[in-house]
Amino acid sequence: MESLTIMPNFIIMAEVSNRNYMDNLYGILRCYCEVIANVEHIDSYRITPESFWKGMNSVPDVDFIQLLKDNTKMEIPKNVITDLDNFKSKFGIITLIGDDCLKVKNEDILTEIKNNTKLNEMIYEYEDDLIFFEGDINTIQKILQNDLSCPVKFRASKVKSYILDDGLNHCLVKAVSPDRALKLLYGKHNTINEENLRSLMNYKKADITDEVINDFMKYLITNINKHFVCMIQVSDDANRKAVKY
Amino acid sequence: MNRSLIIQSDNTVMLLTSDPMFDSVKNELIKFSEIKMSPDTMYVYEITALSIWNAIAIGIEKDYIINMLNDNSIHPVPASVVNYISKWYNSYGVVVLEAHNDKHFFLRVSEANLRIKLKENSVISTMLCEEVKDGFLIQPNHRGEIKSVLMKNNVSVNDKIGYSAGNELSFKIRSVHLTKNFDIEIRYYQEESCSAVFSAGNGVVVLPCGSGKTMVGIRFAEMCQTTTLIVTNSAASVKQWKQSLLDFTDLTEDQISCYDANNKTFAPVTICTYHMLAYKSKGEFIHFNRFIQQSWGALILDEVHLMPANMFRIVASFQATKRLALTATFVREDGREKDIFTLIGPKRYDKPWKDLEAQGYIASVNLKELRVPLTKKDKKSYLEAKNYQDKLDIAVMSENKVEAIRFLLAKHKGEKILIIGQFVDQLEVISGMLNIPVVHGQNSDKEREFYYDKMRSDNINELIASSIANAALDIPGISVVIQISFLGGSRNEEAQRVGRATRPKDCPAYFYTLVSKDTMEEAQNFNRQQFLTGEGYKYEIQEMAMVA
Repeated sequence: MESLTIMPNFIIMAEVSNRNYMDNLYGILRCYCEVIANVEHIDSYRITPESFWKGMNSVPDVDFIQLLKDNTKMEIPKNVITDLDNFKSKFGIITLIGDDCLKVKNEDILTEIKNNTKLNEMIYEYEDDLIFFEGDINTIQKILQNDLSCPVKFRASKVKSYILDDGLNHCLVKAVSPDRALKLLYGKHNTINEENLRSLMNYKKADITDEVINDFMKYLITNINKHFVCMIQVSDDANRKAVKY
Repeated sequence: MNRSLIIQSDNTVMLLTSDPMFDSVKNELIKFSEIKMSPDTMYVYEITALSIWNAIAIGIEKDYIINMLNDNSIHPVPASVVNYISKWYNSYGVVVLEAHNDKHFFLRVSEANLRIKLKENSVISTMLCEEVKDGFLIQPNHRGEIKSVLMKNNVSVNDKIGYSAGNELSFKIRSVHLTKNFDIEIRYYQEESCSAVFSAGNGVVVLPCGSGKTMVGIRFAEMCQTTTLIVTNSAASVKQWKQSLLDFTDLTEDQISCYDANNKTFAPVTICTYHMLAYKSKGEFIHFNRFIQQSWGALILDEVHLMPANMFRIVASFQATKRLALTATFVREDGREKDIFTLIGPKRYDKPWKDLEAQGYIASVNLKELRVPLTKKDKKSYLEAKNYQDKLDIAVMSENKVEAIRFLLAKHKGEKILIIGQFVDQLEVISGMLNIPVVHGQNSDKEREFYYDKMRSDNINELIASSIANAALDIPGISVVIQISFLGGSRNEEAQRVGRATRPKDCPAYFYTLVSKDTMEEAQNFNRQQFLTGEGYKYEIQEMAMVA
């Protein structure tokens, strides 16, 4: 039974007593909307472009617009549908790959990014449709949403680029391309030492223990299918060479 | 009994518009709660401390409210809501402001704990001259400020000092309009809102654009029968107020003064702008210092949402005067609504736009957002722009907007059309291209009034105007407004501009916003629409096919 009332100002009212809402919609609405109030009879939510894109990142397998259509008591106002379709069309144009790379599908958006002064302060390299940046992805996302009205899609497996020294003169590099893997090693990081490793693995303070490395290896094994992994042999004098892609 | 309310522990009250008792329940609710949202499916109200104090001010008993909620609630009324209502009821009257002697007022505080808190408050303590039994003495010039600070601390002050009578002014509203010869009838909501403010002595009335707020002001002045100061936002509006007073009342020319750069005289009814009143020279409010020496019995603040921030202190000086503030959109982008409430008075009356539209008091307006693609040249510039502002400039000035205007002018040929925008350069260019007169802030008052009069008298059907025409511009008969550029995401400006088309008329009205497609104008316009969609308006979004 339908449980939602969707208003032209993008506010959704949901009946708490409705089983379908509590069982199937409650969690999804919390991902796709800002919560105005969760109280005893009617919960209220507000959809904004930012909340909608956040929802698409958090619960990507849900067709939120269809879900609203299926559960609304009254026809959804046309302006709401038009705007939601518009928000949806922008999602996926820019995708975060690894921890420092954005893949941009749309030529116009790519041009806009290349010309944006604020973004260019954070971007250090372009490679076809790939953009490599330094800095906080949240800051970049904010600029993209504000200046370009375009969100960043995070991959479901939100993995970072990793370089792992196994302590046996081998490095496992996880990156978006073999070239990128090499660049990570030769370009950005002159040496692989414990400090680099900690920083790349986000273990800023903890010691890299065997347990951590084991966990990390397990993590890589379960997530490598979408990424390139290369094995690097590290010589004693720190000259490294890719031996296997 | 038919039960139609959903009452929740966050003090919100929801009323389904489909309910057969909708109208009667709505009229009860507004007496003790504030309307937050009125889309077509459900009205949402909130019970606040202020709404409870307002209810007390108009003589509504606590039990009456609780019984009404119990009788109409689908579910049991949450205990927390009943407690909340009781708490604010009981707090009323704890602090009372009374006359004492020539030099001081007496702030009676009947709770010892509260007296200690007031003494400890760094701001309030500076206004307390002396502690006496059951309270404090304060200086009369702190009357407004102390009430304002206390209200911010959720302490209501029952001000029993009363108001200055001003000098008596006897006049009445005519039965027939002086120049247009129609029968004058005060509408029910105009009467209700005036009575609410008059009986309380102060307050804000929120009514939609085109619903006759000027008439509310005139009726308020008639109720007061005293020397009246009217402050508004523009020179054009000053003239409109004067003309309305002459047309609707038996006041004569010599009883009304428009105080401006050329005329510094006072009359029993004096009208001036906020700018004039707040004008400072060598650190002194030179005009205000003259105004304050006059004896005013009533103060009317028109378009109060536009009152400049430096007017707040000035308004605080008018605490001895009965005060009415008028606005259509009580949304200030600076978030200082609460200051208005405390210095002028609380919101005493609020009527949803769609209610008055359904009753035929304001025109039904079709709202359309037209997304206009950029030309190839504009698009290239947009994509290559270095920053937000450069992009916005290109989106705003898009060449294709001119083509879209041409299309709309042809579609609505013969109708009265106002083209409104933000940027004078853009307006001048379009004026030249389309051969339509333009008015903006760089014109003299006389020039602007010349074109407004031409529109009013049907000598021209099309006019381009800058944001000076956003508010307090009374040109009846405008049935099409084309918005070509705007001030960011301002909800207030959007509502005011739509309001240019809400004056009642025979044909349907249209409000078009031209937005450059796939630019940040889309996001800005999304924000702008939030106030009116909350009032139940629906925007239709269309893409215009243009030759690239």
